[in-house]
Amino acid sequence: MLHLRIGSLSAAMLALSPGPLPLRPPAALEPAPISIATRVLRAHVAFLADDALEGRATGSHGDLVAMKYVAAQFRRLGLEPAGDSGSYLQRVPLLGRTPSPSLRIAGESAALRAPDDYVLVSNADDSVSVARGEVVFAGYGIVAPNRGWDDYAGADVAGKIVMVLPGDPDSTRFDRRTGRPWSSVREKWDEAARRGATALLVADAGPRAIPWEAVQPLMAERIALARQAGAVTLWGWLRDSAAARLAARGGHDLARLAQRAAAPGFRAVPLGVALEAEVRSALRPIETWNVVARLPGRGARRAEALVVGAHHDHIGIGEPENGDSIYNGAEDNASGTAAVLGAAEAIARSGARPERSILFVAFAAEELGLLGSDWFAAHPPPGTRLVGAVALDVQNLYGATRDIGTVGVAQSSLGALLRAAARSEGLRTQEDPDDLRRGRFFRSDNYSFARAGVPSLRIVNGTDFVGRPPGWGAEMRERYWQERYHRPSDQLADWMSFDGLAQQVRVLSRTLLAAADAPAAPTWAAGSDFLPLQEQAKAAAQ
Amino acid sequence: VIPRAPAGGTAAFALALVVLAGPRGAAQGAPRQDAAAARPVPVSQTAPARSAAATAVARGVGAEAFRAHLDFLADDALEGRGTGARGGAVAARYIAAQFARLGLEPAGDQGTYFQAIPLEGRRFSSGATMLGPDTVALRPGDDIVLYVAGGDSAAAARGRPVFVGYGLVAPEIGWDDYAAADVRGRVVIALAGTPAERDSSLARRLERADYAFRQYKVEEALRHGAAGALVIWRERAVPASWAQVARAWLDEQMALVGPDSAGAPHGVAGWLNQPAAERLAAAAGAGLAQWVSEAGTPGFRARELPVTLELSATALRRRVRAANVVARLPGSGPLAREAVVLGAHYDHLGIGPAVAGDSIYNGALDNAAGTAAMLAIAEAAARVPGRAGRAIYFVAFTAEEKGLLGSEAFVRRPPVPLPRITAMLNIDGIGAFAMPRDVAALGAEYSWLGATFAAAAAAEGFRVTPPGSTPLEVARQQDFFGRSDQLPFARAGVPALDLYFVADEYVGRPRGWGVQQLDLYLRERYHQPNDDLSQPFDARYVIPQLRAYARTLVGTATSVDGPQWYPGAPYRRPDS
Repeated sequence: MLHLRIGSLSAAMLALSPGPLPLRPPAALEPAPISIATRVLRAHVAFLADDALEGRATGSHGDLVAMKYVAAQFRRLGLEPAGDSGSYLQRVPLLGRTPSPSLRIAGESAALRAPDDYVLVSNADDSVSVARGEVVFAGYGIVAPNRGWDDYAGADVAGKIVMVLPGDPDSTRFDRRTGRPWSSVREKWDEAARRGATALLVADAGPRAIPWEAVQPLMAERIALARQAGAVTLWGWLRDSAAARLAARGGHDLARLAQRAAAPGFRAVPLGVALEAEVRSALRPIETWNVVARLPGRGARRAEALVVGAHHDHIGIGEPENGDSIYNGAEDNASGTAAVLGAAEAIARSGARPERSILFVAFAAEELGLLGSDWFAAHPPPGTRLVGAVALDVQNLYGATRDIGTVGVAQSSLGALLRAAARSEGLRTQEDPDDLRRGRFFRSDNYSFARAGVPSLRIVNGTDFVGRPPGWGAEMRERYWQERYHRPSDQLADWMSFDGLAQQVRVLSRTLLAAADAPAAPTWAAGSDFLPLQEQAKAAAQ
Repeated sequence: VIPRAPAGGTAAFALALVVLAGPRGAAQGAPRQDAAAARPVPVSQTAPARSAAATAVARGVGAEAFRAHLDFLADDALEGRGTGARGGAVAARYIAAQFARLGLEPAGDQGTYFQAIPLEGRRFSSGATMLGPDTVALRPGDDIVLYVAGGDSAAAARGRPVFVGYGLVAPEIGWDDYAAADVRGRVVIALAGTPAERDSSLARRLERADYAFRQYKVEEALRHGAAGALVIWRERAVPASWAQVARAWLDEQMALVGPDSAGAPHGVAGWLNQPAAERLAAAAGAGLAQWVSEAGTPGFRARELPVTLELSATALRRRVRAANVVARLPGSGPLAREAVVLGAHYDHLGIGPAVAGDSIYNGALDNAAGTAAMLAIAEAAARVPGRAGRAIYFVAFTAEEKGLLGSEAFVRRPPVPLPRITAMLNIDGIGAFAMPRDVAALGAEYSWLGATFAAAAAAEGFRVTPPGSTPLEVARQQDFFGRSDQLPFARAGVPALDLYFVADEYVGRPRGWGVQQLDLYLRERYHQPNDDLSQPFDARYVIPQLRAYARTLVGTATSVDGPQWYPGAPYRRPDS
């Protein structure tokens, strides 16, 4: 599970129900004998979370062992390798970039000073990256047709530098429980890149400004994808004073620009001033891999693939707590990896051969920013089109439940299949508003697929535990977040039970088989903010 | 298989062995091939290998499982599975995860799959002086290598040495080099090899496989009360060069500690190089050739030498953590209290000197393949519920390459009392050269297990490799039976087989081709970084052999009578 990153927005949001989305009738479920032994799941978690794997940090020996373990399991189950050149491993090129930027307002003799006035980093693979151009103020940098908002309406920013405000102007309109994380910097630079901008600067101003100290760590090494497609070359933050100085240079008042940006109908403002930006980067390549296996579809639609994935990496060895320096990541995310392996085993052993293919994936470098899934969504196995994805991240190690949790169940037709699969296992489906409020849809690998337009969701823990008092599940979850999340104590314990994980694996397996056999590929729900991305992707494919 | 190294199996260097075609008289410690000839075997030993349960287990041995385990264990990420190293620990965890996945019972320490084997790494420094008419320092590494036998940090001996010939006590041929000698507190000097190098007819009559080895001679000497023991290295009498011997002993050695090493005699011991031995012989008015001649003559009598030797050695010690991985598949019925063991060592040499830019000694054939085979058979056996008969223990041994230490410790601290362990089968190496027409088990001639193996082989369409055929002669010369984890079991009296990976005939290949492949392997890959996955491990060739092994295992686990050693076999159950 990924840390909330700089640029994500405050937690408090108001409720806005989009109304019930139409439920599709559940697809006919094959009566495949879907089963998985809890001891198998426990064995996977025990291995992956063993101290010998040293917390599976990206680039570490322990994480490499984890990948090889997953590959061995795929091999054992007779699944096809679907990584690079006939192997199970798909290389994910990463680059650590440590920036030394320079930034100058055209016509001014004194350059701005980093990191007092700004921070600026590169997305490119070169040791020197440059952006020069007119600056356009694009409000909050948000385009949300379903919400009646387009900060780029009528604006031409191709080859230019875009300046935006952090966050969003209206947490009711931009309710991330139902929509996209518009407030994240990543969404903002996605949008700017789609419009051809070369750089994105977030002016740390307006109602959602954050303390400047929180921005400065961006000047340290940042590990991200190499060969990143669809990204602005440079991005960073301008301190409010520097942003105001820039605006003033073009004869604008930053405070007034910010006010205008919050109002519907805002139009982007060319500031009439240019910036010259250059980032020299110290580059450090890092090798890691997704682990990918395929159950080939039997039908004409075998080129279409459902993805089930969970990240194999965790955060490695760190500060000791109670003498323990190994951050084992049993729940985060040995549990999810075990679920993927469990589904692979349940499906392989069921003998079911659905129409579409199913790709089983252990993702790399999730903890560094969903990097493995980001790469995978952009680079599916050759000849494969991704049509749906289910991600697993921090699964149930607490015992059997009467319900199953989801994130994103209402967003796409995958949700209806999941509900039907849960029903066939005798489980209610629930979606915790708190999860949505906390933006959990955007904090794991399912989001990489959503950003690429692929309908996706997560299966998370239910709260109604068999043999436990009401509220126990919620308390367990809260204790995980408070006591174990990203700490050495996230490790396998004797009290853990794998009955709940087995339930999740069965629901997951049935959902995948149903989606792989359904007449139509999954689609985002009408009115979903991700639907336009799916349509863009379809159009691009044709 | 550990090198037939003068380091007594504790050498960690690569040893190229030239395979000689055909029998050779000077084979040392040769097993008695004729012991099995036309022995009556109860039908209870053969029918169970063809039972429904055996068939079900054999059919369940899966190619995907074998390949998956092999690929993982031999991957560079496992760093050669060195004992006490990170890669070895990962391998152990992987094996335990497989056992857990299969629902096998943990049979290690405290409800886990791990049987901790505390080891000690030791580096020795030494001093040696010969006082006589001329006082000479013996140069460590050139003239002599010394170590501390037993668990102490230092040992020393001084005085007039006693030459004891081969240092052999072999009642089966009426031989006792210590008969006329009192060596208490003395330094003993012994030749490597056995009298069979002079009289080849003795080879087939010598019972123990290890009479020729340094370790045997040192232990025999110390048991007789000697304070020190030197074994003379000679060209041809010892398969490894002096340089290899010296390097092995200058490298770290590993040993069992604590209760696992109880009873190990204490003293200063080592190797004496041939030129130094010549000087010693000359000081006694003889020559080394004369010594060899005398030592091989029946009635040889030990004698004191007219020089004084001062020997001392100290050990720099470190603790090494290692573990066997042990799982149990329960049996049922009246035999359920008894057990059979299927073993394979999972350790290899770890990371070492680079060869052609590769420093990872993957040990794919030696013995990722055997471990993968054991796991694949375990999976098949675990999927057949309610099998009658003995419990089966699946054991992945550690520190085999360090001198059979994991299996030695297992035999000293077995999870079931040894008298209730009725048999042990070992897999060290898997033959994937081509499709064999025959299969072999070393030690088949010693016990009823050979008959079970033959029935199992036949049920899978294999002939049993004929006795006297080249692969078995090579195994005899190389003493493969004395060089892997079956040995501690056999010595403790448990009937054992070493499931052998070389056949006499292969489909579509000329006769002798298999031994050529073995020769190539031993010369070019054995204990080298290229014993890796670049070698073919074609499941089509491997799985039928594993099915024969599975039948042998199930047959042994279900036969009403436990297997017996044949009378005259070099091993026997201790009197009880």
